[in-house]
Parts: sequence; C-alpha cells; structure tokens
Amino acid sequence: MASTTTQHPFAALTPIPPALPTIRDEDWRFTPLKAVTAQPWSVPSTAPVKHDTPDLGGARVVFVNGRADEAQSRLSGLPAGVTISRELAPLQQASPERPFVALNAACARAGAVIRVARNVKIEHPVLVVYSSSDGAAFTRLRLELEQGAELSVAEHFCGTGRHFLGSITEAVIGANASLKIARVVADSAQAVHVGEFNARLGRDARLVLDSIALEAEFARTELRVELDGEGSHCDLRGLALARGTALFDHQIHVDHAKPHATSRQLFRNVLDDRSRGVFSGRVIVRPGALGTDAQQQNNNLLLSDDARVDTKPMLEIYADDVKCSHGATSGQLDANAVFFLRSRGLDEATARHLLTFAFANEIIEHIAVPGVQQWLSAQMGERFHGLGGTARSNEQ
Amino acid sequence: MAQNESIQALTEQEYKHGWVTHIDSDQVPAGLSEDVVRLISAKKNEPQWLLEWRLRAYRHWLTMKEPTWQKPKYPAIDYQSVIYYSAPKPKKELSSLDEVDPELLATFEKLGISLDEQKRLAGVTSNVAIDVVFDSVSVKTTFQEELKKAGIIFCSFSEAVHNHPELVKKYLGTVVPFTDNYFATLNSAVFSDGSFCYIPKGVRCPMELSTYFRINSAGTGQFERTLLVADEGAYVSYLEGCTAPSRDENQLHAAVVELVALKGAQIKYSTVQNWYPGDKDGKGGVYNFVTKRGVAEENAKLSWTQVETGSAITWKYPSCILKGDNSVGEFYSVAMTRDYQQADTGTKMIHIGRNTKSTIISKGISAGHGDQTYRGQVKILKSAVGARNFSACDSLLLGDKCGAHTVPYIESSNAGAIIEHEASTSKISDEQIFFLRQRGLSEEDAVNLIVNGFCKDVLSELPMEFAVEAQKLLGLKLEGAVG
Repeated sequence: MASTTTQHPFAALTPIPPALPTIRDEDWRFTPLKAVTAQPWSVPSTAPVKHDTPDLGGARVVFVNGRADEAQSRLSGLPAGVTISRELAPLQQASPERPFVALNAACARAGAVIRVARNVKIEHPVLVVYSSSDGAAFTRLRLELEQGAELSVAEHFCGTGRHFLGSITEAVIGANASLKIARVVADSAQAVHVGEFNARLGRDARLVLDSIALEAEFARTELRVELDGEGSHCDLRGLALARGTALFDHQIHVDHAKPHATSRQLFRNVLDDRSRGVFSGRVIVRPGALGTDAQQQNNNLLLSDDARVDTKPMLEIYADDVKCSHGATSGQLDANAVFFLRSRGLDEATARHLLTFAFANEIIEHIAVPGVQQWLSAQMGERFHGLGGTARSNEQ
Repeated sequence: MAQNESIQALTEQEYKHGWVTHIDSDQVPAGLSEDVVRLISAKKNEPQWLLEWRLRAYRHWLTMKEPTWQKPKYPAIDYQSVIYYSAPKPKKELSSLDEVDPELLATFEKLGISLDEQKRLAGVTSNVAIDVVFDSVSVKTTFQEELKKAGIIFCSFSEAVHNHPELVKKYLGTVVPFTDNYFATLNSAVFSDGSFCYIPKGVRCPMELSTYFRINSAGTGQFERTLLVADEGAYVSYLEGCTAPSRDENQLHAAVVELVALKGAQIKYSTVQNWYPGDKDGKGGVYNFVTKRGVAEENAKLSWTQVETGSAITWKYPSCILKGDNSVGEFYSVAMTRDYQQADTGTKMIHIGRNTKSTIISKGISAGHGDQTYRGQVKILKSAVGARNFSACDSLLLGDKCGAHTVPYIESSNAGAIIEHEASTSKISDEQIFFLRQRGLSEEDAVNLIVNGFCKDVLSELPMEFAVEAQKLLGLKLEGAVG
C-alpha cells in the first residue's frame, strides 16, 4: 500500500488515486514497482514528439503523451465497413479492481475505437503509435470485430526520456472473426509501461498476439484472453530482451470458458546485465469446457550472473476431458554449442550472439502482422551486430 | 455407463480405519492459553528451557494471523474448542514398555501393526522398528535395544528430551523455527510428543524406522513433532503412517517434521497418509496442516516420498534446503483426492550450495468433487553455481466435477543453473479402458492398472512394505472412480 506520509506517484493526475500494489500482492510478487513509485509523475507536456515507426501501408493512429495527434495520424482511405473513431470508449472488460485499470478509468484523456463490419477484411495492418516524452499518460484502444471480420494491428510504444504510459487495449472478436496483433515496446531506456490487453473471443474466433519488449526500464504486460466461444483459438507469443536494470514482466491469463477451444502460449526471456524477467501464465479450464487443448511454454535464457528470472506457469482445471500441459526452462547458453561454433572459426562473442539470436528469433520470425517482422529484424540486427538481417521471412 | 459405475464404486469405498478404541484418556480441558502450554509441559515433566521455548512460540503465535492465501477453503477453526493434549490413561505405572495396555495393543493389531510380533517379510531379513503415537503420546517404540547396539537413538520425543537433552536442544527448531508459520508456531507451543531419531557418524541404520500416528479421542488435535538427525555419512530410511476414527467434526493435525542431514548423510523419509477424509458429502475429516522441512549439508541427500490419500484437507510442502555443496533433494508424491477432499501439496527446493541437484515428481489423481493443487517452488540463489532442477507434475482427472491445478514458482538468480519444469493434465481415455477390457480385465481392474502405472515412478521409491500398502490403498480409493 502506498505510504501515507509520501505523496502518491499519481497524485498530480487524479485527486483520489487508488493504492498501488506491492510485492505482498500475489500478482505483483516478483514485480517491485520501484520504477513507478521512485518519484511523482507530472501531467505530460503538450510538445509534439516524433516517432520513427515505419509505415506499414495502412491507417495510422498516433497518441503523443496520451493525447490524440491528428497531424501524424492517417485515418482516411479505409475500406468500406471499417471505421476508426477518436472516442474514449468506457472500459468494458478490464476489471476496475486492479489499480492500474482504476487509474486508467480516472486519468485517460484519449482513446480510439476501430470497428470492422461483418465479413470485412483489411489488407494493411492498422498502426497504433504511443509516443511519449515525459509525465504520465493513460490511453485506451478498443477493437470491435463483427462476425467473420479480419483485422491486423501493430501497437508501438516508443518515445524519449523518462515517462509512464498506462495503456489498455480491449478487443471483442466476433464469431469466426480473426485478429492479429503485435505489441512492440521499443522505448527509451527510462520508459515505464504498464499495459493490458483484454480479448473476448466468440465461436470459432481466432487471435494471434505477439508481445515484444525490446527496450524500457520497466514494462509489465497483462494479456487476458477469454475463450468464450466453442472452437475458438488463441496463439500468444512473447519475447523480452532485457538489459541494464530493466524489468520485463508478462502476465498471461487464458480462460477456457467454452468447450473445444485451443490455446497456445510461447514466451521467451533473454536477460542480460542486471535485468529481471518475470513470467506468470495462468490457464483456467472452466467446468464444462470439455475438449480443451491448452499448451504453455516458457523458456528463459540468462546471459549474465546478475540477471534473474521468476516464472510461474499455472494450470487451473475444473473439467476432465482436457489436454493441458505446460513447460518452463531456465538456463544459460549451451557451452558445447558455443564450443562447436568456435571450432568453426567464430569468435566467442559472435558465437554467443548467434545462439542468442536464434533463441530470440524463433518468436520474431513467427510474428503474424505483415511488415512487423522486417521492422524488428532490423532492430534485432542492432542488438546482435548485424545478425538480424538474416531473419527468414514468413510472409508469402 | 458401466465405466462411471465402476469409478463410482471405487470412490465410494468406506474408510476402513474409522472405528474408535474405548480407552480412558487423560486430557487437558479444551482451549488454548499460556496455562495450557504450561500444563502440557508440566505433564511431560519438561525442563525449563523447553517450557520457555514453548511459551515464546505461544506468544509469537498470538501475534500471527491464520493464512488465507491457499486454495483449500474451510470453515474457521475455533482454536479454543480443541483439546491440545490427550493421552491414553495407563491402568498403572508402567515399569517396562512390555506392560502397555492390551487394549492399545489390540488397537494397533487391528490397524495391522503388530507391536509384539516383529514384523518380518517372508524371505526378507529386513525388519521395521516402530514408534507408535496414540493421540498425543508415544505408547511404544520397538526394537530399541537392537538399535542401541548400533548407537542409534530412536525414541519418543519426550524420552529424548529427558535422556538426550543436549541433542534435542542443539537441533530443535533449527530447520523449522518456532516463528516459521501459523501452524508450525502453534505446534511449537503445544506439541505433545513425536519421534526423535539420531544416527551417529558413519552408521547405516540396519532397519527401517517407522512412526505410526493414530488420533483416537474426539475433539482432540494432534500436534506431534519429529526430529531426525543423521550425522556425517549416516543413512536412514524413515516411514510414517497415519489413521483416525470417522467423526463428524473436523479434527486438526498440525505436525512439524525436521530433518537434519549433516555432511554426506542420507535421509529417506516416506509417508503414507490416510487420515479420515470425511464422509462422501464432505462432512468431518482431518485437517492435515503439516510443516516438513529438511536441511542438507555438503554431499548430503534428502528424499521425501509421500502417498497422500486421506484427510479432508491436506496442506503440506515437504521442503529441502540444499545448503551444502553437491547436496541433493528429491520429492516424490502421489496425492489422491475424492469426494470433497482437498489437497494442496508440493515442495520447495531451495538451492544454496554449488552443484546442488533436485528432482520433483508429483502425481495427482482427482475424482468425485476432489480438488487438488500442486504448489511448488524452485529457488536458485546466486551462490548455487551449477544447480540443476527437474520437475514433472502430472494430474489425472477422473470425473468432470473434480479439479486439478498446478502452481509452480521458479525463481532463478543464477545463469549457470539449469531448470526444467513440465506438467500435464489428462484423463483416462476410453481407448485405454477399451483395450484393457478387451484383454479380459474388468472395468475396475483396468482403472486400477492405469492408475498404478501412472503412479509407478513414485511408488517405486517407497520401501517395499509401504509400496505394497500404498498400492492397495490406491486400489481401494479408486474403486468406482473412472469417467
């Protein structure tokens, strides 16, 4: 609980901020909020902030310091049946009991709603950019896909300097509809993020989500998926490449509410320097959700003796005709593999980079949103001294 | 469906240890206060230091709150209605252990534990030394003489306090301090008896040591404490079994087990827990809230094996603190819940020393409205260079109203550590049953065979006498349980 003697870090934004969680709360056990509570957050400035997100060829929705930036956005030229409106839709799925959801409810100034009508498919992904420079901002994005609709979205969290962004994305995916979404945190090294993605899937609906954290001081991503239709499917993947003193946290919550739904989770952490990685994955199979098939996998690679990983893959099952499994591993690079590469003439640094890149690239090369993989390959190249350029394309 | 019926039949097996022995007992009044703690200590004629230790624990307990984080849900326990001490009343002063009340001997005879006869398996020379705990006190320890020859001390806790106070004082509370958790602290304040065992340097204990616990009196709680010390290079295998009468009220069992494995020592601790699980509507049964922990010094090995079939609620996490370099921790568990039983069990492996290794194999079987959770922690400290952990947790669901949950915590602060965890949940498929039936097995036998196969990795870790008992127990528990 926030101490009463010091000022609440969000006091400048809302008169009655909710108490922030501490490591005594089970959901925050491994995620100390030092980066959030270190000093109070101000209301962000209104100065424009540029971003370097590549053009993915489709519509663009830009938030700057939590406010809509029409100059950088491109909302026209959408196919019939697709609308993007700049409205701040009320939160519907996120639980108001969670402190950062309550803060969002109280403090969000700008939002967007993307609606795709029945059986409409969009060719190019919609790019949503959150660019920030200072202060604390909260945003909301709502995605509504009617029956049979298809949409792909790329969310990019970027900026400069120390700032806080609390984002909530809610998606309602109708029967037989399909959403592909990539969330990329590639921000300044002082940035603080608490993001939530919430989705409800109808019958035979599909969701493919990639959550990539490349740079920030603190990035917590909560992914909550409710498989509320028979035969629905979700594919959740994540990669956190942490260095410095960064803390990257993925909290996954998959709720199998209806029979014959399938879910896949694959999350990887690569932790260097004094960074920390957290993974908590929870799969709930409700009574009656027969024929559920859920798989969960978490692999962690520790590159430094000072890095730390905490992982908690959970299964909570209340039905018998189910197939559920999970696996988690943690370790360092295989000394034999490094030796093999060195025997082939690679120096130690290159050998280690190659192996680390291969581990991380298994997530990158499967990113489903068109164009995002090429973009991130370039970013990976910077990290891994040019290796990123060799990334295989999966888009035919 | 025939299959369902056989599952049902299996799950509806009566609890066969549910009878009561009518024996006068010496009880303290229900309720808990400093006076009760003093009274228990006085009844046991304890030295001052132990009374002080109890009182410190009691005072600390008053400042603690009952934990609420765990999965099992149960109505609030009224700690003032529990009888904290109950001992069978001796008809006269016992001059030797042979003068134990025949009524008591008959009780254990009925449970299949013969105190007079030395239990020998045909063709096998190994035998078992048993310490028997009835309600709050230890009634008899067999084979003491033989063990003495090897220098082994195996006796009730109270005897140890009187005869070997230096050992008890040295090790009591070193693994589970009295401040550890709510139930361990309660136990520290009011523990009545239990077993004490000390294996001297380099001695390999020639027989299995065993404690048998029985709750008999109504309204009593059982709070025993086991302390097992294996000195450098020693080896011991220790077995523990439990039963209680069928009663409508819930009885509390809050035990503490401390294992100390010094340099190069090995301790193998096996439990077959079959406390009264409550009736088929979930009424009554024992709350089994137990703290078990061991510490392993350099090159030492700790191995926990448990078969948990009884208790309305089981809540225990036998743990290993792998303190010394190259120490090894193992945890093998089969937990079976049916009717309205709940089990929240698992282990903690704390890797501190270099090149420490741990293995966790957990098998959960849930039937009826049973609910069970594997909750475990693997923690690798920065100092644990070269640490290795492998965990596998499998659950088998029999019926669509039961639940199975897996909650592992994996915390690694060492890049050199290798940790693997895997878990799966499944049911017995119709194809498997069909195949076995087609081979001439009855529905029930088929289920039994599959479940025993499922648990084989764990059962094979048990000492033979226990493995047979455990297998039978699972069979009985299963009668009628597959869907």
